[in-house]
Amino acid sequence: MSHPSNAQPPSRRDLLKMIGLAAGSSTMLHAMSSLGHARQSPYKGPINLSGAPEGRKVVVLGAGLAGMCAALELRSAGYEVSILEYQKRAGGRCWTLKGGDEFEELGGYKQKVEFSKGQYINIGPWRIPHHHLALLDYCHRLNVPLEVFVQENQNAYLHSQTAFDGKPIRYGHAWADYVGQITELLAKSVDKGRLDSPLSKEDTEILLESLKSFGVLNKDYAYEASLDTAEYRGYPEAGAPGGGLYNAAPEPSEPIELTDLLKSRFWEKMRNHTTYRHHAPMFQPVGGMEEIAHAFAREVEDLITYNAKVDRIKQTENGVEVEYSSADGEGSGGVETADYCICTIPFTILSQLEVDVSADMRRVMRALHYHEAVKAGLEMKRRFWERDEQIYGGITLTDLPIAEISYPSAEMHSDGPGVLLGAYVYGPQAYAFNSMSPKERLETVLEQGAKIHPQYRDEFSNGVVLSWHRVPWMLGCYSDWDDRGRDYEIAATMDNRLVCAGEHISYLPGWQEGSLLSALDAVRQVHDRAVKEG
Amino acid sequence: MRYLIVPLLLGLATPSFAQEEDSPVDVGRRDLGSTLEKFTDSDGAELYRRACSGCHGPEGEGAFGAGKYPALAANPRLGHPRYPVNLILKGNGAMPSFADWLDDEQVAAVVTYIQTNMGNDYAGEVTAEDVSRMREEFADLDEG
Repeated sequence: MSHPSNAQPPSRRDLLKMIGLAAGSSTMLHAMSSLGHARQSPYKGPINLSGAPEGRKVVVLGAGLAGMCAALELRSAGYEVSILEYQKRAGGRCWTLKGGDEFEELGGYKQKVEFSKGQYINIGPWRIPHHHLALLDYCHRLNVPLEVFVQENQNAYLHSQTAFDGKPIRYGHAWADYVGQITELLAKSVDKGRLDSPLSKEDTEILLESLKSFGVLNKDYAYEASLDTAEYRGYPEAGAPGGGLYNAAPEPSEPIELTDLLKSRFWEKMRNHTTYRHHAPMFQPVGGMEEIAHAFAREVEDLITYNAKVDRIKQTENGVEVEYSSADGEGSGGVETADYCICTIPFTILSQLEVDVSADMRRVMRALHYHEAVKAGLEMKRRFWERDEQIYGGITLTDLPIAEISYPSAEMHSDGPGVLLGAYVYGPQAYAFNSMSPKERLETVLEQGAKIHPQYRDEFSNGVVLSWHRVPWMLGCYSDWDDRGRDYEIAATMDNRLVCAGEHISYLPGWQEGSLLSALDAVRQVHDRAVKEG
Repeated sequence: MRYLIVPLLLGLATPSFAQEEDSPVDVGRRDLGSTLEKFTDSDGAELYRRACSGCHGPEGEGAFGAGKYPALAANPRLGHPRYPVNLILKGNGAMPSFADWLDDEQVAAVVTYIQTNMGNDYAGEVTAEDVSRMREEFADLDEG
């Protein structure tokens, strides 16, 4: 888009501001897209459903974010809505564990959370990208306060069991030295004309200049210990910039050898924080992710029947009939009838139920698998990572099975306790954890974490380790589409009078944004059908 | 939750953890019998414990919630190895595919274990060659 330098009309920003003031933020969202700002989301502001026929009823299965979002929007459009939920709580995987909470896994393992007051672990989703516009908009509309979630922290660690004698290395050291030294290699080969480059002589000169600047190279294109590189990688412990006379003058720090960095395989982890989904800043609700679920539940709680285990979904030409029983065996079940059904039950479970759907839909339900994941929340008496190691939020990445340690983004600098995400395990190792008792899992997590933070043993107070494959209402963590293709279309398309929704019906598996966008699409399909049927 | 970029850790040795004499837990479990990409045990009982028992139960008793993990104990469907081999390689619903995480020998070992333990007494004796053949056959079925 061209910008005439002497444009007389109000600037685009002024215009947007005026539209925003006059018409509210959703209009501004529309305006922004029509004015050519690229927004990396299909979310176009609150859904507008007009002309709903009278007396139409929708039954929603599952009171997670997708189900509650669908219920909220359908009810406000004039539909009669009811929700059946297996658990005795709303929120599904939008789940925060706090002191006093108890939960039971399949196989009978019970864990009681003993965190101090105010401490929590987001055992499901735990961070929100700034481009997840639907989720952020619902947080705004439902008054869920957000704070920054620190994803990348240069002072957190990279850790390998086999490199640097198993000692953790500051992320920023490894990053600056890796970038500096690969840039040095490139600059030197360009300088000596050894690179088969398509660039013109002029561009090559600019390239050399840029490599020197980007890699912090000296005049000979070398990355070396210097005050210049220390400005990026940091200073030695004795030699940091000070004041006055004593120990005040800064000294250079010694870079890590490229060969050691290559063998450490740290480079495998160096783009983690720069994937589109993890670009800074990320956000989290103040007080735990489940605040979002609570906010939705405040709107739709009167529609929810808890403790309802769906047994059978019948579809006829004119309606849907859902038979359910009491999930805990106490109290009675019932039958819910409706014109349409929005089903957010994960396919791990839905595929086991007696459901009237097409053969294609049934096949897809069985074929979609779910990721395994194990997550640990560890309360430490003292925030030693902050006090001892100056790590405030962010994530340490390791090749130990625990895979990562995430430091809390809330309550930084507090004297009180803090809860670490002590493990986020995937793959075969998650099944190994899945086969352990919670006590064994915890012991294993602590033993591994102590290799990075020896303070674990003294400071650990209590903890929980959840295996998502053992969660009775999930049987897995989140959907794992190999190749969506036609199967995805089948899963996402209304099947007679039932339409599925949830993170599994999205291109954002495992993210709450996917649940919401899928729910809104399901709502749209139901509404279009209802309007057509009158 | 995150979008995971699974790093490839080729040829990385499984770490051995220091064993404490007075540890309250079974220290034998600490190497986890697995890497990011593979189960490393070869014994059928060990493989069952690490890979399968978390869902199907230590004694194959299954688990039951909103959905279920079927019991493997005294399960007549395990009479022919083709059934469990297919499920292990292809998955079904809540059962993911273990095709990339177990090699043919390991699949044969764990299938033989479940066919001849936990109240099952089938003359299975599936071999790694059988598994290899079934791997190709199931892949062909997918394509065809």
